[in-house]
Amino acid sequence: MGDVIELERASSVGALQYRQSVREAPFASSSFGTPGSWQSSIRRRLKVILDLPIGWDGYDAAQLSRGTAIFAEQILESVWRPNLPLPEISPMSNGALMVEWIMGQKSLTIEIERPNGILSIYEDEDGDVEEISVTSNVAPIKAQLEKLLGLNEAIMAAG
Amino acid sequence: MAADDTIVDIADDDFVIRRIESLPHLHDDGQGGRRISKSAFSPSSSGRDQEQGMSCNSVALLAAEGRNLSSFAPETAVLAQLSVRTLREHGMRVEHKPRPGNYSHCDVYGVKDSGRKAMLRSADYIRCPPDVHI
Repeated sequence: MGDVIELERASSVGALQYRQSVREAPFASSSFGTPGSWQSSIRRRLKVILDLPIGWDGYDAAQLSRGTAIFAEQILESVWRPNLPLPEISPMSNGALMVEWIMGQKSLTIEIERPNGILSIYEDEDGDVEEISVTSNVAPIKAQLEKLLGLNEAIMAAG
Repeated sequence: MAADDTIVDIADDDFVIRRIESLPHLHDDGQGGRRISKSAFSPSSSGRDQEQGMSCNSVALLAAEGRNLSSFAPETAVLAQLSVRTLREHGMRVEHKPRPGNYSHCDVYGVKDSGRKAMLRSADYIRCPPDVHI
């Protein structure tokens, strides 16, 4: 299921590298044809967020827990597919993690509240919303990702 | 001026200010700019607040304290001004929750994904770097 996130403190270099990888290839398939570089970028971003102190939002924000970060990495590793763009990963003030993909008028938002606590929200181009709660079964999230990416339903059925 | 712990009603025609920090909530858009994530509008830890309200500050109460928005939270990259009326029209509650040293502090309750999107789109970004958009 991938390496455990390192415990060393995140650095501003890590943040810069994540931003640079998104800027250089936000939707380029060649950079993310294999999971390794994609996952490395994810891991760098998670490390930056793990290093945020209590109150990072200017109010009373909780820190992201290691358990939630590790779970998030495992979930993202499970849904990875070739050509999947890097998501925007943001901490939430209550200690949860938000993972977003936005493609035109469509979006997929995954709120990882804690290990085995996920809320996945898909909005299509008509503004219709599909909201599901899952624990660790990523199949519904994969299905929403397929819709986001606009893949043929026959391909979904095949696979 | 009211005492530091006197709770007042927040009027519909008031506004609240939400601070948005750059590292957590601003993301490269791949085109040389940065985008604000709706995660910027999320409720606080249940450790502090069992109802998990979203922290903000009342503009009217800040003004009553003689504080102006241009000098409020100078270290914060983005300040989003939200209409209390609009928040309530979207089903959220806005309540005055003074805290030590922060009398104008308020909480917005009932924040869900639809509310976050509404706040992101309807906010008046009174402080915002030029490369940042929603």
